[in-house]
Amino acid sequence: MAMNSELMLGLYIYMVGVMVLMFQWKHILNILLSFEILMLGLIFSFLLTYGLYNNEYYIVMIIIVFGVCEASLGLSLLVSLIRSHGNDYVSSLKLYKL
Amino acid sequence: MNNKFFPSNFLFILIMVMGTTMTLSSPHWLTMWIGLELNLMGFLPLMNIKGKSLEAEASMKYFIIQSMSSSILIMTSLILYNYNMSWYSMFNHKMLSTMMLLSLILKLGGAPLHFWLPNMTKQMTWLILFLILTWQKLAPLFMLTLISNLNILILISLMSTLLGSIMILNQTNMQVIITYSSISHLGWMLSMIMINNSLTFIYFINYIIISIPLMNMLNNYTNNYTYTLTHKNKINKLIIPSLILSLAGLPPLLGFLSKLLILISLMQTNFIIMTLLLFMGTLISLFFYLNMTLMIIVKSYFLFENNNMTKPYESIIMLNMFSIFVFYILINIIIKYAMTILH
Repeated sequence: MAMNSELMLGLYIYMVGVMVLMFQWKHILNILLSFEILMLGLIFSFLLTYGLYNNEYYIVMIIIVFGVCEASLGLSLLVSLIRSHGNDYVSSLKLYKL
Repeated sequence: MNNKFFPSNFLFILIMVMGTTMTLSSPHWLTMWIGLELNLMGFLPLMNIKGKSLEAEASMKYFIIQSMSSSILIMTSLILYNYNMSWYSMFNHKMLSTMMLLSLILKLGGAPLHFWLPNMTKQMTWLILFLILTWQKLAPLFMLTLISNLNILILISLMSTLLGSIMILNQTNMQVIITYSSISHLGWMLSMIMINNSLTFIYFINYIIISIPLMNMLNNYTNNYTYTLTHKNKINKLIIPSLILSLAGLPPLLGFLSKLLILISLMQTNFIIMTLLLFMGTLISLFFYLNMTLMIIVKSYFLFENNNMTKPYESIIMLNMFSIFVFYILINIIIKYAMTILH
């Protein structure tokens, strides 16, 4: 079984997320939002392939839990970045220019 | 915010260690991914310990890269699962296993995907730099041993050795120099990973043994820039040059031991051109290591100054200096013994 249609649907969402991630040049918050799209595609494809074939839907629960943890971690990092820089522009990251 | 005592750091260290152990001990790609995520979640608060703005930037970059690569890893493993309906008998699809390998290389900071690593480590704390260059590489290196894709691994190892050693030549920042040297050492580790992965971990452990006292002394006695090596300070003129030359891989030291083992194994498997190119890479970086040692040695009026800075690391430094006389024979005996058991 090569590429079934459910997996293609999830992979489509994931690829759209990757495209969205690549074109974020201004705000870091948008990068974190595109990570959420990636996580959505991952949940979707896990639900429709692995969960559906084996009746193991609890795997999706684990994926969701870790996605939420990652999102909250990213938001806390964003807060600490904004507290030290004043904004969340990618262009204000000065580590590259040193 | 600066130098306070945070009891929660014990929790974060525990989560970091447990994540890597979970990755090392799990048979399933999903639990390996969970281990990587746990490792990231424990490590990021440790990066933010001083609350400076550069640390916040570095941790943001690290978070974006690591979560992106682990997401690609789990997605590719799911596609591979759909390809042959099993989590265990994998990697008969060439392109997908290449994709998985590249995501792990992005996690490690191997050569074509290394650009985030020196950007991030500029002006970083030495302890966090040490953790990034050693402990954070353990889990992805272990996962790379499970993927068999020889051609691309050879290409990546050659590129990271050559590129890491060429990029050192123009740098003045100490952390960036150590980072690029670790990239070129990563090339050596990746060269052995398909042939004999126990030698990879011997090399890795030797790299850790060298870099613990080296990074600690650089932390205590220099600034972030290389010209501070020429200033008059209480730096030990015998120990630090020996550690740096051990990173370069000069003969009586520990760094030579791991390079010798890899060299013998590569020659036995007939990768002649590859060994030649790997040694070209280390030869280029040897120039810079010798330059650094010259900067330390030139101002030394007394070679053996008596100071207590090496007190906690004396055993590790002794291991570094005299290991070649003991360990090479020991490892050879062990490998021969293992071979007789296997056959």
